[in-house]
Amino acid sequence: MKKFSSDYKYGFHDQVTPGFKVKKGLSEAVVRQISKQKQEQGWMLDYRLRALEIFWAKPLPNWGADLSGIKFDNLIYYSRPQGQQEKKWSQVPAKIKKTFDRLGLPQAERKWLAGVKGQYDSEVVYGSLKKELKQKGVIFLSMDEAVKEMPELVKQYWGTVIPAGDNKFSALNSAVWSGGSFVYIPKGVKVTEPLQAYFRINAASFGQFERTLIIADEGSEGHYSEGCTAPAFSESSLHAAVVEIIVKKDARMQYTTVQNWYKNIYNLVTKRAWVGEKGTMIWTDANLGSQVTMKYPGFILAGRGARGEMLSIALANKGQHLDVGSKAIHLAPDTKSVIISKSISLNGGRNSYRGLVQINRGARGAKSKVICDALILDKYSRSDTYPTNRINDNSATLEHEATVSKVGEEQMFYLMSRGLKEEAARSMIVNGFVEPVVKKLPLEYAVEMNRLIELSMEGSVG
Amino acid sequence: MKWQIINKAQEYKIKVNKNEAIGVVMPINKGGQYRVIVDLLGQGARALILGIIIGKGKDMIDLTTETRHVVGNTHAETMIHGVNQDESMTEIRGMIRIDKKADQVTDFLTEKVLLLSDRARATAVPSLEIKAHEVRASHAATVAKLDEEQIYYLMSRGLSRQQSEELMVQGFLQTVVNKIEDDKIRNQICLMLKQ
Repeated sequence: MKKFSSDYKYGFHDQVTPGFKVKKGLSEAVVRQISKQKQEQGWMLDYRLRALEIFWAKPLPNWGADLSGIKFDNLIYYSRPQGQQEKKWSQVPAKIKKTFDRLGLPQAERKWLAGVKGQYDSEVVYGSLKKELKQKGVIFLSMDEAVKEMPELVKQYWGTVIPAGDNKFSALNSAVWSGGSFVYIPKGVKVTEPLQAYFRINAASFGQFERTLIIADEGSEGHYSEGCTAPAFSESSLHAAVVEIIVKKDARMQYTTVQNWYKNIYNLVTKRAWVGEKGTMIWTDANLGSQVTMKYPGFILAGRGARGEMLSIALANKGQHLDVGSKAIHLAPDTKSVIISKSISLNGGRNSYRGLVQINRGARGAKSKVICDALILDKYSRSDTYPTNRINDNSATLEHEATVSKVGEEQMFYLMSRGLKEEAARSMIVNGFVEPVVKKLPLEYAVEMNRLIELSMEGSVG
Repeated sequence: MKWQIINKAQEYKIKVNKNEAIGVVMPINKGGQYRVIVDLLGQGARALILGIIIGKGKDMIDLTTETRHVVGNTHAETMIHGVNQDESMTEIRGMIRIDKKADQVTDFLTEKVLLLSDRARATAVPSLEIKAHEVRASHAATVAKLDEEQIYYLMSRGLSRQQSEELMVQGFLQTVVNKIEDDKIRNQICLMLKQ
């Protein structure tokens, strides 16, 4: 059996001296220090300190994955690389540049992206946005810049979709957040190419807490995507992001994640979108890496005719527990949600689907459809499904389906009788299994996705 | 198949041994907490769990079912159909648990609820925990109101709206009743439903 780590080509680590980092552990002093480093205004510091209180008051969730391995006192909560955020690639410090080179950022940017942010540990080190978009009024800043340069716009939406007290890790993020993106797409503007963020954790025993806020104004369209990698260390690191999205009337937003953290990362992320009248929110979510992931991207369908879609793939290999799913809250009439989740467990990995569909009274004619399919590839692996469907309006329709199965012997036999090797046959079946989700990804991701799945499957025992 | 009727709001633990087959019917028409845990302990054990729920007034009906496959070659099916009238509320939690090495297991769980009034509510939580490999398990849940097209069809055949609705509800619940192979038990349940 091949180990996942040997396939992980992003496991390298750079010897970079940080420009500034706080002492190990979490305290009020650390929060004040971060805020001071960023020269923040009073309201943000107050917000951080309030959130810290909430974080301490809340217990760890007693459901889901085992989080007892997180050593909150051992983590470094802020580490700033040297230098500023650069607009020109050539000005980025050489060592950091090399990292992103190896991750393929500059090539991708040249080829097919509308804008890029690269985050290295706590801070965004590089950012760009196409000129045409800037002229149309599109804003793509690091969250820190946005808080400084347009506090009024930020304040209006900050914490409105995910308040600090939403859960323990949103509270932690609110207290020590750093980095992330701020996106504003003005009325009627359509951004056809994706805006991309790269998140890289380089330090060991580190916590990355980026904060992203996306506002798609009336009738606008956009696609934001993120990719995550980390070096191969034995100590665990923590990634606790908060992503808030506001999709206004008739707007459409897609958010794509390809999560490929190394297997030492606790990935505990809160993502939610508020969707107005006839707006559409699409989450496409691929989880391949991390030791533990708990993530339930959701949508609050607040305006009449709002739509939400969630498509996810999770591949849990040896030592991984991926507890992922989605939350759909229907508040208005004629709202629709579709949740499709595909998971593959192999070499002792564990996948859990955990989801909520809530249709409130008054959401007349709301419809929701949930499909979660799981493949278990061997006898060491595990798959769970925990969906909650709460229907409080009698004109609503809910359908929920789930199946768990293994790769069928007949399917394998058929493919092998056509001359395919066992490994190739299995990988073809798995690729067919995730196909409905993969085909919703932009082409470049779809190709990468298929390749990653094949890599992870290589040498696996069925 | 040995049959057992459960209609009290309490917890029942049922053990199914090697090559045994057990049927459980739950005609529920009163509020309360009902729990049925079925352990399939021996190879060849089979269980069929049927639930017929009628909620009315301000009833809160809370039904938990669990089938746990401790060894391989065990089979279970759970089918629960419920209707909610007035301001009643139903919460159905179903769990399929398949332990390690319990291969050649099949288990299916269906939870369907019809909401018949504006103020009726329902929550369906069908869960799976699967640690074995050679299994086939699935669950499905739906919550909806009566299909207007079907009502329209029946009315176009000369039935009143009320008659059409009653007929459809009856058919919906009858699907579950029809799974009872034992004539005596089936007739008994039919009588209960008529009341």
